[in-house]
Amino acid sequence: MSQETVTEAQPVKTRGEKAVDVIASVVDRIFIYFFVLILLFCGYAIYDSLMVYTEAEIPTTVAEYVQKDESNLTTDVNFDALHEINNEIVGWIQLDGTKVDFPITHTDNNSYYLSRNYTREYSLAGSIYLDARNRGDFSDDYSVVYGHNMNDEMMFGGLKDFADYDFFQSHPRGKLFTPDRVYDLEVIAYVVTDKTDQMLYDTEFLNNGRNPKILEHIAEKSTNRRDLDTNKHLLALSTCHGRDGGRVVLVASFGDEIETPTEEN
Amino acid sequence: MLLIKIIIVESVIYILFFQIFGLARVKTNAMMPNINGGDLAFFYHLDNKFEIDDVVTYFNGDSRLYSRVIAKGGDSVEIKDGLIYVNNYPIDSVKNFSGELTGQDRVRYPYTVPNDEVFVINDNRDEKIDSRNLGSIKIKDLDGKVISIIRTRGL
Repeated sequence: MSQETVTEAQPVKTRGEKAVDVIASVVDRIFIYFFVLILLFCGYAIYDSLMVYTEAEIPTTVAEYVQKDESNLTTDVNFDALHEINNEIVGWIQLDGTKVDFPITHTDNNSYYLSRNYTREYSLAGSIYLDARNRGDFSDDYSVVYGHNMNDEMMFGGLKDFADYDFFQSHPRGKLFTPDRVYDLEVIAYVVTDKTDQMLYDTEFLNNGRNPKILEHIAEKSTNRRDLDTNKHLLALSTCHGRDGGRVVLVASFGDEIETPTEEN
Repeated sequence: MLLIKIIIVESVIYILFFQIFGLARVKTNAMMPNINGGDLAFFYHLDNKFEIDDVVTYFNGDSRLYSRVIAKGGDSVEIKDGLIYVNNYPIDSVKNFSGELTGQDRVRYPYTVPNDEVFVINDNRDEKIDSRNLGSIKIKDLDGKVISIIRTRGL
């Protein structure tokens, strides 16, 4: 392959050797162009995945309307300001000790926010959104909230931490902020199921309140659970699990209403 | 010598990739299943003849959109009962598409496309920001014709 050794050994070249040189340099060039192309292609693939994760972050225009305390827990959400950006933001969910700390959107169909962020721009990571069949004020007996399962615990990627019994036991609390109220959440069950689960994703019951057998079903399907004997409203946080339509659902119950956020914030 | 070479190479690249051809990461799912979000799209800026079924790119405000030409100047377009009629002839099912033609559009049907304009529609019918709501697009406002895509994800 190397031209130089050939040149050094025999300064005077025959026609045949010159032909070899030409062929060698052509081959070198083809390899270089080929590798440059591969490099550009891989570069684009890396850029594209970086963009997916950048787009998954809460836009700074949205994040600035949230107040946090010293331990980085959300304490107040300025919904009036958020509605200027997107009036379909109906809530903000936060689970203590996890990266689950997101706005919740709600619209009239369940595909819109699969690939749009909180400012309605295209984003493969989508948004966290409330089922279109639920009421936007979380007044239903049973509400379902969806989010993509992503690496680095982005979106609902953090839900799978609750599969671990110790983690589940030590992280029972969360909060749901809505424009009118702040709710205490208690995580009560971690369910591994699939998208055909009639009990958890049933259209009929989502339209008409809660399926009376849903707690039995959750008790049966859940791998981790607390006391399930509750009459409280339920909030199901659903994300994908594996490739074949698997779903992970973290069920929380609404605790007592904490307080109405003050107006001056 | 080297400086001249660098200048020449850079200007060639600039003219080639910014004036004649263009490339952009697609940031919409409006052309699913044919173009997905995240694809790298190549387009040709200098074309001013557009045929039926060409995929074109244009701007709506700041956002770059991609749609398919379904009718040209002089054609009449009508969407009713989930079908597209061009000059009273239904044209759906020619290309792969997704979504459904539902809901009220901003334009009034039958819509007659003015000369030097094209009527474009998204392959993903659920994404309604196209000629159904923007009206037909002036050919001089089109940014180019999509000539190729490179897909690295969601194959």
